[in-house]
Amino acid sequence: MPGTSGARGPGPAGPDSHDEDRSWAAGANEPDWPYPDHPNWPAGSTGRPLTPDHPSWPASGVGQPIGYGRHDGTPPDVPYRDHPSWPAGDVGRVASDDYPSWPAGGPGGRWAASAGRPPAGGAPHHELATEPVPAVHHDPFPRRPAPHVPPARGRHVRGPAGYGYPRPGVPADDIPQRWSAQLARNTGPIPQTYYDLAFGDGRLQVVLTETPGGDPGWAAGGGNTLQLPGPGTPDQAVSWDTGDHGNADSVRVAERILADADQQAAAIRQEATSQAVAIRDAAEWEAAEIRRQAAADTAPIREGAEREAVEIRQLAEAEAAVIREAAKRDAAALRAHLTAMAGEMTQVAAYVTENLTSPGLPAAPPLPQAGPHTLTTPVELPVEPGAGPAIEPVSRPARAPRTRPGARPATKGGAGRGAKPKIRQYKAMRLTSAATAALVVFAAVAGSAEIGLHGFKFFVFRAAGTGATNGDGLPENQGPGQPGAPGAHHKAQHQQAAKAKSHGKAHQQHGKAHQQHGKAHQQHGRAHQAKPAKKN
Amino acid sequence: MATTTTERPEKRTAARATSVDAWMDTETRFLGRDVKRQALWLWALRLPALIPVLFMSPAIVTVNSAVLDGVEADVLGTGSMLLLILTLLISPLATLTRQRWFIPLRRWYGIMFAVTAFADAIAAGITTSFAGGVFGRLAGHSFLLAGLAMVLLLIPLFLTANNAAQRWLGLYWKVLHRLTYVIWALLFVHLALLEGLGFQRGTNGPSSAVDGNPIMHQRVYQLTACSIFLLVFRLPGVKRWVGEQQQAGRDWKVWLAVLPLAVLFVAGIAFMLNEQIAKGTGAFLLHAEDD
Repeated sequence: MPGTSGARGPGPAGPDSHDEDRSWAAGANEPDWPYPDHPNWPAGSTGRPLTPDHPSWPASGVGQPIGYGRHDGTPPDVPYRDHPSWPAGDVGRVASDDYPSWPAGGPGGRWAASAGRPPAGGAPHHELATEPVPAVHHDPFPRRPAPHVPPARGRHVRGPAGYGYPRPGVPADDIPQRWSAQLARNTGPIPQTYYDLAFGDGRLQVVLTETPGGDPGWAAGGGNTLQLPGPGTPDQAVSWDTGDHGNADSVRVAERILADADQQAAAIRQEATSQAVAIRDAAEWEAAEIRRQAAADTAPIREGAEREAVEIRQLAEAEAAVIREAAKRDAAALRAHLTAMAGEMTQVAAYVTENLTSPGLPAAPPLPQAGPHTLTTPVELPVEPGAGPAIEPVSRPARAPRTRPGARPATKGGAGRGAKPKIRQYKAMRLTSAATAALVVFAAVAGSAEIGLHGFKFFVFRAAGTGATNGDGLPENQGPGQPGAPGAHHKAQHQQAAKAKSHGKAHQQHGKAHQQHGKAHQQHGRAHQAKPAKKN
Repeated sequence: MATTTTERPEKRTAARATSVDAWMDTETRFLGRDVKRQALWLWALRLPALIPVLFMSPAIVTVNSAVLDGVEADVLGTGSMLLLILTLLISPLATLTRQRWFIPLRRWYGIMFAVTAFADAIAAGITTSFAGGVFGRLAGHSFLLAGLAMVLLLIPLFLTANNAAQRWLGLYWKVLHRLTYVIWALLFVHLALLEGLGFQRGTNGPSSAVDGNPIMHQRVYQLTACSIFLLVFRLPGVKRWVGEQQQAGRDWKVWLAVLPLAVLFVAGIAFMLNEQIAKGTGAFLLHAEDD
């Protein structure tokens, strides 16, 4: 983001103007400090090996030191001029790219003296430079604006920044670990202020590592520490530790830092809010615009689709009507054809039946010509008693078909001659007619049998009861077992005749016996006549 | 018999509906239900058709041979004749009144005519004192044979007096049911052979002619008196004339022509009803009153 920078740029923009700082404490070169420009560098030590990724990290006893610092007890003529705390005068010093703001070019003697003594056994300081953190500085003097540089990444370890390094006689393990962070901000031409953040005991400590130039109360060698409550100690208040020299201006500096940070945070928040609102408004407007555009685009499409649907429907209806009409025509033609065929078959059957049943009769008159045209002139059925017989003259004018409520289309064609009866109904009629004829024949046979049994006179007249013909002398005694039953008199006569016949036979046999007896007598007389002729 | 009757509602009534038909088509509350007045009147007019069988039911259930032999022919025979006349009466009434709500009665009366005739034939074949056994009792005499022929002809008509048979026969259903007129003619033959065509002589004829009316006590004349009215208003020419007069608004001419025939019809059917009620009541009470 513009206005923010995680680190300062290298080169002359660095804060290498310590010479102009009048408050810079002089005489910081103490005899027991191995490095005049860096008082808190452990002199006489074996140096510290720096890891490649953390050049400022002390790695005791591991290889050669990289960067500043010596371990072999060489004099403090370090070749780093761009760093105030680094031994200047050595052109072989390699400036750290990730620390461009490190003062260079000066011996840094005063810096080391004013930086204060590091606590015993101080650990290497890590310099934090996170991107979103604004650069907080406190600099009463106008400085050159910081150029825009890309934000640094990761933690930066600052080397002998003044304190925190092990001192002689203090074990390295006893040195509390401290972290330093560089909070930079470049919202315009602002100078840079350094302070370190130290975490420990659940609190955050801000330690000013660079003295404000114009602050007369800046005490060299003192540990100005702003203690903030950590995440685990929310109930502790903010405290300012001015060290042992008791500089009251440090409080004011911290307050200003905090106020500045709050202001910056508020501004950033407001700016973010404004941007969020603007983005949301733009998004909503864009969504509304898209919706409106979509609606405008779909309206003609919908209208077109509806129009097409109507046209398709009309077309389908028209086609359906045409198909229906064609089907009706076909059905009518087929029906007429079938009816004609059925009529022809019926006429043929009737003709054959008539010829078979009455072979001696003259030929029947020609039947009406079969064809569909006969359906259009149906003959009315003589359903009333006064109507003519079933077989009417052909010349009788045909009437309009009846429209009886119960009539069905099949019955409207007429049942008379020339009609086209249905085969199924015709068969039913034939069956019914046969059954009726059988019943009539049965009645006729019964009547004939009765006439044959009892005689016509007995059949026509009756002697008693309703309608009895008086004086006819016909008693109702001809039932089974009754004296007048059919055949009863004849049977009696037959029995009498049989009796008489058998009696005659007896007499005849008796006569025959008599005849045989006479014949015997005759033979006996002849024998007597032959005996007297033999005695003389 | 059901000559042209169908139980289906008459669709044509909407066009020709008289005020009576419209009134019959309305609904009324009956036993808590909405029922058409036509249905109520039809059932009210259907019940009298059961009277002949109802009169003879005690004698049939108790096998009372005296009643069956004595008056079953008078009750069931006269009842059958009455039902035939009622069947034939529907069409002339429809022609004269132009009402159609009672058309369904035609089939019902025809069916009950067949049922009553069958009951008469069965009872006569079993119980009467005619000689010759069952066949002798049914066909031993000429009038019995005519009656038997009537009953036999009623069988196909009875079996086809329904919508299914109507559909089955289609066009021929009417042709078949024209046998009703044959039966009507055979009834004349039956009664003529039974009682003769002459006037009453001695004890001949029903009811012994004690009222001084030798003619109307003979059933053949009773049937004739009724049949004139039934026959005249079946003639197509008469029907056409009636329709023309009605369309011309001259209904009085129609009723004037109808009046003498209607009087004759009422006279003839009154004797039948008299005998039916008198002998039927006696039979129902198991009192045989044979003539």
